[in-house]
Amino acid sequence: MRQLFTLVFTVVMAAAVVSPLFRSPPRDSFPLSNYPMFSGRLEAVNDVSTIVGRTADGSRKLLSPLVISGSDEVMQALTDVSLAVNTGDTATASLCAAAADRVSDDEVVALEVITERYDAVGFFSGAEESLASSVHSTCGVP
Amino acid sequence: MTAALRAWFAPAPAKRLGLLRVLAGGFALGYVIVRSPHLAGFADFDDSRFRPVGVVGVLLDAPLAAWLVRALVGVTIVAGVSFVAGWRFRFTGPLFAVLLLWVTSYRNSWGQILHTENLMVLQVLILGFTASSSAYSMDARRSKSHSQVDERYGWPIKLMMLVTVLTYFVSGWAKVRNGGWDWVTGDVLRNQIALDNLRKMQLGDIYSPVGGWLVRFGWVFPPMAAATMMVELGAPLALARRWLGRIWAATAWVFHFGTLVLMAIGFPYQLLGIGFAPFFRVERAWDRLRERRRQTVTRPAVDVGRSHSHGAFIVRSDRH
Repeated sequence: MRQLFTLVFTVVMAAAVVSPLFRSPPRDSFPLSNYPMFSGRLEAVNDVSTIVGRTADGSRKLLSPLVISGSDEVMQALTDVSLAVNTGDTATASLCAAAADRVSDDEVVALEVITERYDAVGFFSGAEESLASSVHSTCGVP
Repeated sequence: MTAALRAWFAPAPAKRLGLLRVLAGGFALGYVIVRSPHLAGFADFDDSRFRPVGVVGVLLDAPLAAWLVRALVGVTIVAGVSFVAGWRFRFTGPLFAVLLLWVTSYRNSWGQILHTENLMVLQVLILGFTASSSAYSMDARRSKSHSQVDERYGWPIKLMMLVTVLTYFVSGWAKVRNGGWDWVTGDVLRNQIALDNLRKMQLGDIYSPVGGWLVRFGWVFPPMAAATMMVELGAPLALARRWLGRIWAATAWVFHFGTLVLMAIGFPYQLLGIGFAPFFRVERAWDRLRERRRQTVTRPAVDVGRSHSHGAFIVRSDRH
């Protein structure tokens, strides 16, 4: 009886771990994952959406993930901004306002939710300028 | 009974499984404690950001009340202490395993899934529901089952090994399925390393200057991608022989070290060796460590011999 339990437990655990391979369409989950972050076809030219700060003279200041999303996880911040950009202007405006409330840097007077297109490989070879840029929302820092 | 079943049910020392419980449970407990502000921080997130996954997706349509999120993190820490100590393990073992699954799943239910926690959660689940408290535990002190060798201590370790290699195999297979063999021969890995570092720079986060520098050299990446595929798709070979398992574990560790160096992505559970510990006879290493420590402690009186001049035993100290 004990060995039967063992075999059932083993089969269930093993089947669960490989089950993400059979999800259609492929979909990530936890802790049973198909590890999509490294498995997709990825081109060098990609869009990066984020929120940046602007000082009074218009220069740019990078913001931390904690300011952007309220979480110290960089990937969480990136996901939050990407989701908002894909959802639309209302979502980016809401995200911008929430981030503005978390800004503690006195020099930052406004925030912009932006998407910039980069050649990521080229970026590290000296071509640091973005290929294209768009601003989704702007908000003042209270 | 077939040879495979005989091998699966081969006995192992209780001490090996017990040490794995202490290692994996200790790491998981430390992880929850260190990450508790982060894990509890999701209590304040806006409901619209809630995208439940795993067990959370099965049980919840909306976020929990903030006080309950914080309370569950606290209870997980308390259960974790009992798990590591092996106290009332029949109850606290499954409790901690399930709570760990819950708090990490809840943390991953806000749009971004962290893949650094998967193996830890799966291995703790196995340890929590098996007889891993028969050694190095408060329960064992009462029952005096410390030195047993039994089949019930063997198969959980093999299951931990099986689950470990399957996670790597799934990751490798997903690459082939989604990206085809271009993943090995093309620029996918190079682009991933470049983009990951670029995104981190844009957020003022720690990135890898080494990875940023290396993406200038395209020829480096196909061999690296091939090596990654060998580690992942070749993972099941680790179950064929014990020595193969050790070699694979060492190779997989190097793979994670490379990920840390090139992408600043740390898999602490693997990098500390805990995720690969089931492939080793950890109890022997522990015993050797204890023996060495015991010898160090008793070292002042190690040179015992007969004095020729006096015909009597003397003890000479190495220390002056």
